[in-house]
Amino acid sequence: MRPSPLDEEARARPNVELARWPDVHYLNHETSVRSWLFTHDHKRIGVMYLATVGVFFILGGIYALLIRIQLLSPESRFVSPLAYNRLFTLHGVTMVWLFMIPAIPSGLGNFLYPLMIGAKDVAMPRLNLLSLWIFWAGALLTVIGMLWGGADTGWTFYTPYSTTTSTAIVPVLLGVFVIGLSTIATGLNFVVTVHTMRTPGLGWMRLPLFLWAIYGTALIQLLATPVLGLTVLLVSIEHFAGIGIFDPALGGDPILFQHLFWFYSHPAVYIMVLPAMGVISEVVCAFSRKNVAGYRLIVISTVGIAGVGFFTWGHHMFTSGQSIPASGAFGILSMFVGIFTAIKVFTWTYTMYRGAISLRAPMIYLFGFLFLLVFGGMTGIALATTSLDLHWQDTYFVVAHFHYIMVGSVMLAFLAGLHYWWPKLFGKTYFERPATSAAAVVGFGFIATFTPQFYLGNMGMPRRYAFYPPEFQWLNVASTGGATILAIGILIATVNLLVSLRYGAIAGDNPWGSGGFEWMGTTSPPAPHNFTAPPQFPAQPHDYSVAPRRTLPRASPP
Amino acid sequence: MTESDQHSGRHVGPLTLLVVWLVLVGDAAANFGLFHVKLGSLQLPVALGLATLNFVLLLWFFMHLAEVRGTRRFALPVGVLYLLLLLALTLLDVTTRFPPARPNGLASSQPEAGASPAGSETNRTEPGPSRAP
Amino acid sequence: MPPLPKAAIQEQFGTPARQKEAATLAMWVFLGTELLIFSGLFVAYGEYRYTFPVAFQMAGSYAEHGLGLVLTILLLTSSFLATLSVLAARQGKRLATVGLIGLTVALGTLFMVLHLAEWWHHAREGALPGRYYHFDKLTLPGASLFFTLFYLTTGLHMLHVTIGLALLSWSALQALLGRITAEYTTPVEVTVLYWHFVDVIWTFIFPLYYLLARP
Repeated sequence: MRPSPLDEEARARPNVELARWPDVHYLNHETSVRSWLFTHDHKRIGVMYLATVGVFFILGGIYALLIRIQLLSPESRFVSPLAYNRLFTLHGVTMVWLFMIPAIPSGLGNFLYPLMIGAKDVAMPRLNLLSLWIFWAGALLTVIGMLWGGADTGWTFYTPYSTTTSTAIVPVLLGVFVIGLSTIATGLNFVVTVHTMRTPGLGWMRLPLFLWAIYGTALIQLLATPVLGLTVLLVSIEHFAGIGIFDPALGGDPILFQHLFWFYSHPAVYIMVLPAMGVISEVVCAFSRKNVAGYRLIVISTVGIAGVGFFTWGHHMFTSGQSIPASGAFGILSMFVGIFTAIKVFTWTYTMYRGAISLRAPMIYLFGFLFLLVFGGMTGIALATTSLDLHWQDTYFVVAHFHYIMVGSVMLAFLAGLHYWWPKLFGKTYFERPATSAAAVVGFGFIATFTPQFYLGNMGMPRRYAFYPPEFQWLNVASTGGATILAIGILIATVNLLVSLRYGAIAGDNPWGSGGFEWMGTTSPPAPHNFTAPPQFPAQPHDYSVAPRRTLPRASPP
Repeated sequence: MTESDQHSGRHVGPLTLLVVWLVLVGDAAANFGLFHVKLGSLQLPVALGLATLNFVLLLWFFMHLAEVRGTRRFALPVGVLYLLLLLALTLLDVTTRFPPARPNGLASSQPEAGASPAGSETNRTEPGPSRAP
Repeated sequence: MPPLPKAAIQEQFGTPARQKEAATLAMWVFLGTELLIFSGLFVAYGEYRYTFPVAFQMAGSYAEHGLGLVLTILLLTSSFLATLSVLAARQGKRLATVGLIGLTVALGTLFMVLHLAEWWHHAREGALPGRYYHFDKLTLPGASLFFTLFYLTTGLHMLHVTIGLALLSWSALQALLGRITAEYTTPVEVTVLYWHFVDVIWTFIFPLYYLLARP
């Protein structure tokens, strides 16, 4: 492999120094279990979030593999139909609420937010800890629901089935409700932090783009999650007490549930995607050694997606009995979000143009992200066209579309961010060759898994079916094969990261020589209170006109 | 959004607050009084209009004491805007829906005042799905 | 000038003023989220009132209009007193603060008692929510939805009243123990803000559930 610009720079420039391991940092200054469980430190809270979402990611992945095994043959008896319904429900619930929504904002975001604004902690550290505990409580409730058999309604909990099913839906619903409380608390903390705790002189238009993304995410969380909270509570009450407003026999309207549910759940996908885009904004600058091509454009697009994402929820209900004028309105409104996403994609691409690109693992994930976001996004615009959606609704076309975004973009961006910031979090570098290989395997496995599903959906295979007509089999087998490859890639990436905690090289403060604010003024891993004096940030994040000081990783002592 | 000025809210004194309180109570009483007047289709807009006036007064005078300038002003109004968005687009759907897809189905949405259509408790012209226990 | 209480200075903030700004911003943003929790119930009301206009109006005629006005005035007055308590706190008048908050709590408690009595009255007549509805005088389709929404909305509101009363009592205790000074009034200010919000929600519940005109 050609030496990357980072290595060449190490030989040429004088502002490279050998990595040092800080004596006292946030991981080792107190090591009791109590000091972790009762910490106010945003860094420790972020790491605990990451560990939790990691576990649930594996669980959600296992559900997915079981689904794919069932779909290997048209009349498979691998699981019963009821068990299959539970599998896809729990796969959705786990991946949405226990992995994707908390992973980047509460995991990486908690860790990096104060570092990026030069603060010692978030505005309300005790609330931050409470958020984490509430998240665990909600997760526990959901797991109890799973152990009790779990729901079989799909993660969308449509009424009237969800109010009358005999499966253990109430613990799952209440678990989601409690997780929603955690989300609101975290969003509240982030908004107050960025408004009131920026280091002196740090104006809004100098903030790192990851911060803008998390801020936009927090706004969505605050506006949307309360509606979900009420809605799942109403379904729970109707289910166990018979007191509700969705029962058609009493004059209720099941479509009202769908309005209330999707008013949250469509912005929820922007809760998942905006932080991913924030990660990409950071990674593209660091690994092209170039400042972003249009800072204001990205900021406007971020806030635009956060705001406009709320106007589009009815595009999930084109075939549910929603009126034609409303469906038309939602279809047109849905197109607008594509504009902002396109602005971002073009800006990132232009950022890479004439940059000094390093083909490290985060960059490989970034390439995958860009490619897959474009296809996922364009199929989204296609689905927003009401007349087309009539045929694609509830088929694998929709499934492929949202997995292109959720897995192809969000998961890849999460992995990119993990790899990029791993040295900052833990002071160690991961092993580059396995990481890059894993990134390629993940990308290839992903395409093999979900591209057949576009064809399946277009051919008419419905989603959430345990059995299907034989003519769909070979595409399903291809998809399951791809899922296996994807799983292997994720496994390699995960093991690589975890092994590096013990055997990786010492990274030093800034092994990438990145111009991001979080790499400046703190060690890697950071000190317990981040900064000893207010940090001196340069005029802009990722300003490479003066190369940032870079540390050269060295092997850790045996 | 840097240093806040704690003292700028002090110009709203107790007397102003008393006047505001009297207006608020007067509004509520007026709303109650108007309820007895046959306003027909204007009844809902008038009632909500008076309620909105009370809402604005509460927000501006009673709660304004606790805020100065900047972001705090926008938190609740932005919430109101998104509530209205949810309401507006949902009602757009409900009011323009194909009649059999409405909750009251094929039944006329304007039965005679005071009459209950003949029959049992549930009173629907189409059978609804039976509820599981 | 008495020294600032310990709670007034937390480490992550540079100055007490910035901390207060953060606390009040947090409460305002939180109130925004609370507003959205109620939004689903108001939207449901909007849909069902449009769909079953006569049933809703008939059901509304069985609401206790006079009691609704009394409840509204109780909450408005309690808000007025709560605002005065903030003024008193800012002037460092400890006993006035505690007394005014106490009166606010008293009026709020009276609100709850009267409201629960109203619920009991409706329940005795058979106007229960959901599938338990057996109100003989009104059997139109959609009528039970009115009462279900009534219980759900006012129930959620009462939950917030309870939380508000608890928060007010806590801040009265803080004032009594001398932890509120003219320079550090944040606990009183944010809890009173919350109480005002409770009143704001009731401002809309009143016309929608108590002032439906007879058809």
